[in-house]
Amino acid sequence: MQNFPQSMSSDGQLTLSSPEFDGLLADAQPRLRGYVASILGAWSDVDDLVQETNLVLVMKQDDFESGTNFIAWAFRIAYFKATTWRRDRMREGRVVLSEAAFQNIAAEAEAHFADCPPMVEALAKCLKLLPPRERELVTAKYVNHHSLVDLAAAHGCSANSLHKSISRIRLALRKCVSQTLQRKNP
Amino acid sequence: MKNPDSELRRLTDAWHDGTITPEDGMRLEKRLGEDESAREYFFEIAGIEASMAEAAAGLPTGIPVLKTTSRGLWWKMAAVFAIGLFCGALLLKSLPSKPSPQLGQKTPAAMVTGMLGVTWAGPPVQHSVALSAGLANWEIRSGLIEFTFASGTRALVEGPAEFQIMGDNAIRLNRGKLVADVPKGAEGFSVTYQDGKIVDLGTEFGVEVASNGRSANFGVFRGEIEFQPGNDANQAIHLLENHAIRAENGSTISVPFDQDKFTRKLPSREFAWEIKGSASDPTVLEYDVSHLVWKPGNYRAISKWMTGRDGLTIEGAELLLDGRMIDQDLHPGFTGTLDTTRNNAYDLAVSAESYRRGRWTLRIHARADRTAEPNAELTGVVLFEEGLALHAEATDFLGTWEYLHDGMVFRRTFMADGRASLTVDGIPYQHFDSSHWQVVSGTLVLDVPIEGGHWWQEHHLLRDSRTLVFVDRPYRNATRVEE
Repeated sequence: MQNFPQSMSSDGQLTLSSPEFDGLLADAQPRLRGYVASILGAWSDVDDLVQETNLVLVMKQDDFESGTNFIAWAFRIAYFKATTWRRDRMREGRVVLSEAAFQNIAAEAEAHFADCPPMVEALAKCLKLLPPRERELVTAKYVNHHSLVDLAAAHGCSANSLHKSISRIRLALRKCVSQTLQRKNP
Repeated sequence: MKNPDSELRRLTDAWHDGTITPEDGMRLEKRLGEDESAREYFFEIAGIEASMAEAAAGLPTGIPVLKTTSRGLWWKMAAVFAIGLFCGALLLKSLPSKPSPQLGQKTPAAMVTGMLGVTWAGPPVQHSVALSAGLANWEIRSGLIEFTFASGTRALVEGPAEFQIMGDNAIRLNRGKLVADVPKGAEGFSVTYQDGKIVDLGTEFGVEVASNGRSANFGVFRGEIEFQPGNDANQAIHLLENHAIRAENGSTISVPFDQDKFTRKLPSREFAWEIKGSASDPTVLEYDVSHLVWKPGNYRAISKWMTGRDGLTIEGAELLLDGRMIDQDLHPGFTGTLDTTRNNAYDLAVSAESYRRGRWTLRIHARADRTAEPNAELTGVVLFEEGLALHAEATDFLGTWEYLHDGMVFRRTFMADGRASLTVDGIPYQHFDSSHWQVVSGTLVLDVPIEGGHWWQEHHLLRDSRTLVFVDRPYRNATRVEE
């Protein structure tokens, strides 16, 4: 039997987490989001599921042994969370990966993101190279979380044209980030 | 770096935009299964998507905040709501009282540590419970959101409100009410609005910014605050305990401090009752549930016995708004030991037409069991719930649930084959070996055989996906044990 989390006091409150654990958790965030985005798709689910994963990690932090593979542990918990989400989304009739593809992509994504270098800094530099209108679109979609449909209605253009713009931006950023990281780690 | 073909690009975009069709989903699976370079591209884009919000947070932009209407996002909001409640119970003390130097910029500026009855205005602008400064505007039509800042300050925002986290000890309040509780060491917490800034000097205070964003009322519950009209520190005005002012059109005037208009902490859903006196005297249990009724919906009052020789006969429950009856559920019920508890849940509906903010009262008509001895003491609780998963299915209950009772850790597990198990401090409880459970109309019905061919029956409900409510057991709610 697994004991009640040791980090939880008798009154049901969590005690302070260690700086090492906090650092590992913070470092894991982009990779966890990438992993979850790969197996679940539509990005707005991703934040919710990563939040839930974080909660479990915090609750079970005393189960983690210093020096062992934190990110593998985090991926494992995210995977179990994702299986529940996948089931729930299937009930809602949303498009999800089939069981076999889900497991295969999860395994591949784990391998990819386990060794993936941090890209936030490179991505931030690349974003600054975008034309102003594209930067504004990125901010509206990713920072202010507006849907492209709402943005299209507000700006009097079609949602399809904004989808194409986002697609172009993704492609440009992929190339730029790759080049930036290569320069940093030749 | 290989460029993707147009199909792979289109499929990957649709996957991340949430616009993928079932046919394209199958096609994407096929492409990813067959082609390693396709997988590589797919993961690279996923990585970019995952880092975009953080990387773009500092971009200069003049784009206005968009006002949009809510569009069927209730399930996402429910998820946030549930997470908020969960964090409220568990994460509150996980934040350091001061920013941790080891964490540097990775420490979130604030965390959502509780939510109650929140109705969002437009799309939810920020899903994360861990918030960075300046990321997004929040706008709620009703309800309460509690934030705990990295500094240790707790702020409770009451809707309708529009606000933005500005730093690890700062918030901007465009409109709405806020009560801040600033602990020692976190002095300097600030609330900014269009025409001024309130800076805490170690205290608890309340602020209300009017819907025009320019008129503000604020007062001090404890300690001292400083008000800077026009954000000008040279013009600072100090306010002491129980003082309040209204700032409007460049002037400030002293006003009475109406403390009751502010919600100072997230209210409990649980109300204690205790009955003494003659055994069969009619009793009316009355509770102010104003801070639990934030919107139209279906509410449920569950009376639970906890101690005492016998139990409580319940004749019905009523929900009133400013003394006027909104709904009632009059049916006989009884709460006592497990074998005597019957029909102790009362459903109360608040229609959209009848809902408004005001004084909401829950009234329960009851009397002590007439077989009880005179002056026998009875105690228990009433749970007042909204959003119980009344249509929960069996799969929603699957898994292990944990609760504390009498100083022991209880874990009960509901298995897919209909069996259940229970451990008490890790020791299996043998009566559960032949137990069986099923879900009937959203309620889990658990049958547990005991000696002599007898059995007992328990009923459980879900408050949300992580909280199990015992309808007829004197236990605190159980929390889902994560895999």
